[in-house]
Amino acid sequence: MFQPLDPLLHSELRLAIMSLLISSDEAEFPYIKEQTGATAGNLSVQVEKLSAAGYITVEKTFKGKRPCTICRITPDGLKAFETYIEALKSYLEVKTN
Amino acid sequence: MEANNNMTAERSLEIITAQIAQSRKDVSKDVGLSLYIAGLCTMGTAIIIGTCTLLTNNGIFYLLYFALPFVIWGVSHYVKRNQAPVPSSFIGSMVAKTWLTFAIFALSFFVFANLFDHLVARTSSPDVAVRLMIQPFRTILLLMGMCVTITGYILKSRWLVWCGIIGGIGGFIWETFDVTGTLFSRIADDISNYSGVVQGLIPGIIVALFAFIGLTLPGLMLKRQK
Repeated sequence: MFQPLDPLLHSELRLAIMSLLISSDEAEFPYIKEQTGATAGNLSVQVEKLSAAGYITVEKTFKGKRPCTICRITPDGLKAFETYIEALKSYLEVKTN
Repeated sequence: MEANNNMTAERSLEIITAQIAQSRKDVSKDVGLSLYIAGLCTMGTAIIIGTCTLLTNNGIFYLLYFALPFVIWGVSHYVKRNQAPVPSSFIGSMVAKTWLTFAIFALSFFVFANLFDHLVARTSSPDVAVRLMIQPFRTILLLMGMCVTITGYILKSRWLVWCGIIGGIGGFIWETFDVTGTLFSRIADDISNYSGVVQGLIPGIIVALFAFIGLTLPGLMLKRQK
């Protein structure tokens, strides 16, 4: 039986952002932009969606005189990611069987 | 990468795997650069100390090893000033704590060994002092090799693991059996000249050699990985 996939995570860019944050304590916006290859505008929109869902927190701060945006995954985000992986497994298991 | 909502399960898995692998690789490269810088600084410091000790016949220059952590920090800071910051991660934090532990143990042991040797040299007869004296370098090389090996396991780098084992255990055995002294005693004609070189330059060269095997070489391999 297939488990439903979280529609918020089932998007290439949002999934990439969450996967990056899952292996890091925190990541700066330029790093995420570089790793995902997304445009700044598109990335901002997706980060905002994840933030609104409570999956990540976005902290706007300064590094010297430079503005710096830091993203962190929240416990809710972590749980959602785990659930997504579990759901994904059910799809993959069916295919391998 | 677009906000595509019609992904297959395989594509999802591919994205997750690729991003996690990329994150690990970034940390590995950053650690590689740090090891490379630490290795070059250690080699340079060891050669400078060895040369100064040889020229002046004064052991005071060994105290320059205390400046080494600050030199490494300064050079790393300078080299990485224009690089995009690598995200802080559990892996990066484990590697940093491993090396912090090494720095605490190595420096504390170095201080203790030097004070102890100084005390023994002043209070005991020369033949007793020689037996009691602690040789700090072999233990520090062993600790360094252990840290490189642990870092290799954390980063899943076989190169680093083997360089750590060879550099650490090799350096420890080399120093314990005084391989340098044995080799030089066989080839040196002038015993007084030989003794000056062994006291001065050779320990520096040994530290430089094992810093190359244990730090510079694995650092270069990690730094250059694709």
